[in-house]
Amino acid sequence: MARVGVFICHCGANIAGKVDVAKVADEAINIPGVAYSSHQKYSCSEAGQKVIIDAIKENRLDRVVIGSCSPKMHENTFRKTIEKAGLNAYMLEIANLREHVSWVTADREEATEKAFDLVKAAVGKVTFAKPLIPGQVPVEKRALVIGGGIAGIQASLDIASMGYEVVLVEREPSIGGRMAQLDKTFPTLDCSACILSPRMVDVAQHPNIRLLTYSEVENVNGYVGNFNVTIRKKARFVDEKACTGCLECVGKCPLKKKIPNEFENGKAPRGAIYVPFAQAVPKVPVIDKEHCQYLNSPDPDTVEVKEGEKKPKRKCGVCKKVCAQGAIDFDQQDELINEKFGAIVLATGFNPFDHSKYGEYGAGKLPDVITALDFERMVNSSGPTEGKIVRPSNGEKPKRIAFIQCVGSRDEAKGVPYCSRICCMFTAKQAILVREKVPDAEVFVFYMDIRAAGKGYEEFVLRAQREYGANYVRGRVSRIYESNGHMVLKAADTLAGMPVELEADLVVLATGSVPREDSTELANAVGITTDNYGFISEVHPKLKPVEVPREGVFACGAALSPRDIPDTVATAGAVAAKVGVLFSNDILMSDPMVAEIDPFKCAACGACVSVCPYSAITMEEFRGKKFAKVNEAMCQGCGTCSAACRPGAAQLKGQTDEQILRSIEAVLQW
Amino acid sequence: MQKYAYYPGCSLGAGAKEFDVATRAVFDKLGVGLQEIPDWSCCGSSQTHKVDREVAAAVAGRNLVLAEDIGDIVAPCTSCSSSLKEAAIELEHDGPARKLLAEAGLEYLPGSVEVVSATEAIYRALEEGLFDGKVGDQLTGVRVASYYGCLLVRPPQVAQFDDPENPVSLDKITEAIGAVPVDWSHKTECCGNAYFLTNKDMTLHIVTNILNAAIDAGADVIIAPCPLCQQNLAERQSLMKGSYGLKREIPVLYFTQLIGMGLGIDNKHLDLSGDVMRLINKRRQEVKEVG
Repeated sequence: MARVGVFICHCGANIAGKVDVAKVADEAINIPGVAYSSHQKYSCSEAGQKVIIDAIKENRLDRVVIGSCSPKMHENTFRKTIEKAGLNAYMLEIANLREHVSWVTADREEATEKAFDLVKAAVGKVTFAKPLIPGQVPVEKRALVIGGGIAGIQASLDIASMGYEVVLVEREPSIGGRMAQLDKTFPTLDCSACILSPRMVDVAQHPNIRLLTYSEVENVNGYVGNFNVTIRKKARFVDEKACTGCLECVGKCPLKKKIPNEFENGKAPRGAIYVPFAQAVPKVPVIDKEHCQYLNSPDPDTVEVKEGEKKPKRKCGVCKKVCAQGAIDFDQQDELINEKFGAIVLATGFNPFDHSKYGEYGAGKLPDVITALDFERMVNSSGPTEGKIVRPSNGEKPKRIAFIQCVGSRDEAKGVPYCSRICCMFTAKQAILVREKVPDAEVFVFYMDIRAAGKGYEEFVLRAQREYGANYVRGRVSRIYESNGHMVLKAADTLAGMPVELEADLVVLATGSVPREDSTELANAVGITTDNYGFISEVHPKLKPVEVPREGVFACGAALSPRDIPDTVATAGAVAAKVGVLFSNDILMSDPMVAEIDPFKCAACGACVSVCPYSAITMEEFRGKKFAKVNEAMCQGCGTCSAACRPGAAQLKGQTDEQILRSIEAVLQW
Repeated sequence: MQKYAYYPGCSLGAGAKEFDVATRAVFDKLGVGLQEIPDWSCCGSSQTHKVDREVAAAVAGRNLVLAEDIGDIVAPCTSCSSSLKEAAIELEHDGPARKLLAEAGLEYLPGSVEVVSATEAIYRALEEGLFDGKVGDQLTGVRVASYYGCLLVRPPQVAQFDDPENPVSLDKITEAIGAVPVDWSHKTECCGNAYFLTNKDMTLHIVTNILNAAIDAGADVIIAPCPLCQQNLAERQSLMKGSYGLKREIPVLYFTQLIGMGLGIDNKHLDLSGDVMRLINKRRQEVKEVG
């Protein structure tokens, strides 16, 4: 006969405030199989754990039920506790009396009744638990970092400097990300490129970092310590080893003023062969196959010609002709790279909000209404206007510039109720830059609240107002329209309590941060989740801020939520530390709660093989008998095979049919 | 044949008779049936909900129940369609409004009828291809400023139609009937109608700004989807010409009147004034001459 110990936790007032814990503990002793029952204030505390250990030893308990918070929170804690008392860690069942009962039930009696039901179910289940032994898996001590902005750069450098190999994958032709697009940074006003470029060069030169630009992650399989990743290295049509970065080809491309440069937010042109910006790393151009005339002209070797007609010639090919190194290779194909990694870091960053959704601000059609990122490029000396602040409509110097904050932030009507955190600060910075570059221009900033909660931030905003004379107006702009060559802003001044109308020459929208357009696709490929907006979900917003629900995968920077450069760099460092902790293990214990298939019950129907989402089941043959077999290293313990198996041969360890049926029985019977 | 339950509301029987006449003619031409809701009653409009939300929902909701046997409701006046839509939302849950209806012996079945404005219904007809082959060259070159006003597209959770800040449905309809939609700044600015009696001066200023914006954008004519807007924009222009600074008078039509012209419906079925006809024909002539 099993000897079950039941421990009911008060969780301070969290559970005890709604559940009569003493009553549950008193009645639990009558459940068949229960040999001991008690209740404690904090089971997870050191004192609480000691009570459990002592009770196991004194009462010769062989399995334990703990009525406490969610197993997500403390299952591992209590597994270790009962292990200390000499039990197998898996002879434990958690009844979730907090998230499933006290926090969601209003009535005390109902809560107590439900708590008792859950305890009964847990006792029923644990009575049929069997000891489980975790397997051991080796750790592949190489990290994959996805995204080459400042987050990915910092994480790569830190991991590589610990002595581990890093592969950094960036989908654009160069690393640098959003930070490379910025002009100056708040609150110190140091030049973004000046502080970023050295790090980019460090990445390129670090012996432990392999850089794969113009590449994307296609597929991720495996598990912590042993991920199998497929990376698509897009054809660059330029041999990276042969190219010296002289950029002769870039200057000669006949389309060099024809294609909008994504790096310049489309506000300056590039050619079909290009590097996105001067400090690009690697400084190796790519050929954009969508636009290149050579690649889009018919191939004379394959094209069919009618008799008497001449074979068409390839168009252009100028870059190939001018390249002294012979680095241009029009026959290059996409390359699929399969590699093994122990850890994956997601540093995929953010997009600025698309202001065409603001019909009231001209839906992106008014030329003199630009975004903050447009402004960054405009004010940058290597940008489209070489640093001159001008009105895009006529190239004239603006006399009055209006900034509007919270465009695509804190706006429920546009589906973005959250604060983007960085816009108050970059707006103050941009206001300062205007006053430095065009001292006679007036600056108006329309804001809802100023959120300047960082080191030196509030002081910075005050400087913009006092030292630089930016006029801050508290109120939202309801409409912008063009009139007599000016932008007319209609707004409320909520401090003065009156409507205001302002004519401005240039309007800059402080567009908020949204996830990258394909963030959920990447999340699906990596097997993790995102929030409603598409930002990556962390395991715990406070205590596990860079861990994601798939073990061995971490995230940092603005892919998690809007954040500024200091916070991004801090989380990138945190991720590196976490990867370091993981890689300090030579082997990892694998979760023993995986499926197993009883070959004697197996009818070899193959249903489990077809439903397994992880391709962890294969058909085997032994002495003429076919049966399905689970690869324990690949099994994620989802239980789908068990549900699909008609003869009941597939069982998930720790969640067997018998355990589930007994727990239901327990609720119904006693 | 597709058929709607028609809710004319009070305005269309009085000040906005031409809206009623033109709307019926356009639906007829498009082959979409309209059957007036028998014994329809007041929608509550802009007053009732300020007194009591539930009573307002019940008052408007009575019409929803009456329409159940006919089909989805078309309410041309945007104040009516807004009140009826709001009632449908309020009546979705089994609350006091439904009890009030039950007391009157009416049972409301959630989701049984949908309420649309005439703009929405006609826009759907356009998307379904019901305009195909019916558009003539009556409006070639005529430049039209579409004025949407407030309630047609707002609040978005009630209107659930078009973009609340930059609506384009009327412009697309305008284009489909062969006229030229003009892009202008004041298409959703408040017309100030509710304040005409209490603050006439402010209202006239607001309307002048709207009309001047349309004139500056080069419009020959303004169309409106709402009796209150049309009345406010059209009928006080003589007052605004002096100190308010209205640049010139500009005709303001109900959008169904213009659509009717585009579809070649006889003017007498559209209740169009001779002045407007002359103006539009003159414009057409000018465009023809230019080539």
